[in-house]
Amino acid sequence: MPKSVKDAALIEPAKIEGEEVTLRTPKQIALARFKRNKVGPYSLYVSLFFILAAFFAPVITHLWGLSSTDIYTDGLDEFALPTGGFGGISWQHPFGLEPGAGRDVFSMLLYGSRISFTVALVTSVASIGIGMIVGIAGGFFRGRIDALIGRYSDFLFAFPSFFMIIALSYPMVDRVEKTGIARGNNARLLVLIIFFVFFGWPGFARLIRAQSMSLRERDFIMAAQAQGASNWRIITKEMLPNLWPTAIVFLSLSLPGYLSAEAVFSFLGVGIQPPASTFGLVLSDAVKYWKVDPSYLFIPSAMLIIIVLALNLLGDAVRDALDTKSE
Amino acid sequence: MSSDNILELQGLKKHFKVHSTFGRGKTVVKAVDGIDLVVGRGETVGLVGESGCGKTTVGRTVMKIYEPTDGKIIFDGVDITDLKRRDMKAYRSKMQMIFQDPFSSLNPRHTVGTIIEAAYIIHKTEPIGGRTKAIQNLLERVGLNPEHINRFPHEFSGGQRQRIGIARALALTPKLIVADEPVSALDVSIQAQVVNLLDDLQKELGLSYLFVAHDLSVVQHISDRVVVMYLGKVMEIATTTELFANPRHPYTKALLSAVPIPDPIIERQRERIILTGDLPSPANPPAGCVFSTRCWKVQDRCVSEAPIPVQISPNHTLACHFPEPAGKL
Repeated sequence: MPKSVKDAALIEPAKIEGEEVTLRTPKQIALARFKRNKVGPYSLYVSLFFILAAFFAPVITHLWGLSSTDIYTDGLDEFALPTGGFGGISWQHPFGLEPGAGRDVFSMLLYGSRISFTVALVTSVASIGIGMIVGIAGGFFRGRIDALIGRYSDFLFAFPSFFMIIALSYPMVDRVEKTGIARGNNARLLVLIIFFVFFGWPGFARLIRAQSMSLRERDFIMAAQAQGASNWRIITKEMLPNLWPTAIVFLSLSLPGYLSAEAVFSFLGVGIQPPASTFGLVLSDAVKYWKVDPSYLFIPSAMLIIIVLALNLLGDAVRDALDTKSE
Repeated sequence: MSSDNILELQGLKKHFKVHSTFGRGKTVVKAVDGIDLVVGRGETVGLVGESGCGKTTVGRTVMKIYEPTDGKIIFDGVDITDLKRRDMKAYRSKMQMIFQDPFSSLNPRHTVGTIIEAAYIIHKTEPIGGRTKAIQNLLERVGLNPEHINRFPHEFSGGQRQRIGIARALALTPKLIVADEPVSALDVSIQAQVVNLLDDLQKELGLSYLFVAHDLSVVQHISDRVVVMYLGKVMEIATTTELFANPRHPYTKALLSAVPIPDPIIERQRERIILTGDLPSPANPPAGCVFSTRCWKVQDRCVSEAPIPVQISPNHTLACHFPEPAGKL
């Protein structure tokens, strides 16, 4: 055997000169895969469009010569219903007028989506932040910490959170207002976000815990330990880069979830109150008029569906692009 | 304690406590149960045995990735058994590890440069000529293109990845390398290249290897001495030539008889010893000699009394009551 082994060493495939292979980082590979996806880029454009529209809501309404608080009574008839077809759609009021009060639906929805996006984004980011810390703590250190976190999140999972939010929302808002952190709708928004985060982080924490546990057993973690790396270094330099993709996927998939959750609670009257407007509020108002003014119900629903669908498809595309298993 | 030895293990034990899911039943798995072992400077010691005999655990315990349950680890004349993490760091740079699976031993999110540089960052060392230069030299030394410093592990083949793993281990100029089945995950042709690379590096840098493997032909090629393990205990230690020519322990003999000989005529006439039964559970090892349940020469004494390793000649140590006759090939 020794002789043939020496011969084999002459064939060294390690150095291949000449043809230059293009260097691709994992990020570039994910990006290329995202672009190859047929739905991905379009859902990204649509999502970005609505997010930017919400962000620049004051600018857009101002340029349109509208205001979300102004009342355009001259567009309403004697029954307080918008004159003109399709809920009073015109160049001046692209989405028509609100029956009853006579506000402009276009600016209402722009400002409403602002609130919805804020809730969804803040909740998702906060859940990911808490879930990341807790998940790594449980998955990496195991033992007692892990058991405690596990039982606590089991408790939260089993908890009827939906009813708790409805039941506790008023007293909580009251309490927040008394402390003076926020008033009115800001307080309601804060309470909603707190509730969502409180019940939202365990899901992500579990995901991260499972991933940390499997990463921990990989040899490169052991190699870092053998080199004398501290736990902090192992977590931040070796584990975190492998956990970010999961966080990004979770973010893009939880955004539409919280967006519609906010709409549901506003619809039920637990979240934001008038005169502010969100999708939930507009829809609950529109239900009253659906026979006489169907476009007032149709337009906000369509917009909500498009946003949620675009964000969901975006999340799916991101997940497919970052899925390392298919590499 | 002679300073000729880079590593000495004295009665090393590593027991794992396994908790059962329900109740408070607790079993102790005796993965390594009291082994004595010496690795001389510039020597390669092969550690062989079948799956589950504790050879990987020995490697990891030497690296202090696992805390030893009992016994002593003496590295370079210093007892490192009870050193705390902080104090251990100084010795980490002198002993490094090469891993079995080249696909799991490199972080997929880091470039080759980042992977190797980690050693310098952790130990706050600045090699002469700068880190980049040092990393490129290392890559060249292990037979990789130094221009590939910014590539990611997924762009390399298994053999190339193993070379990166070797470069990482060499970054801090260690004295001892614990190689945990470094070639068993590779193709045979690539195995030969990696084994030769390890051989060359040893000659050049004066490294000592603790070479964990189950492939006897690889061990025969690279080792100066071979340690045969079974169920957490040492069965036989001998120089490579002595062990392969003159195995005295029945288990060693059975192991060697399983190595195929690439000559059909000899192969057909050869006596094959086929062991019956499975490896007993290390949680409940047999009383007396651990090999007694599968040994064809078992007698009453084997079941009642565990054999103690005895040095039968200057380069041969054996733990058996009824060894095979010497001298016959």
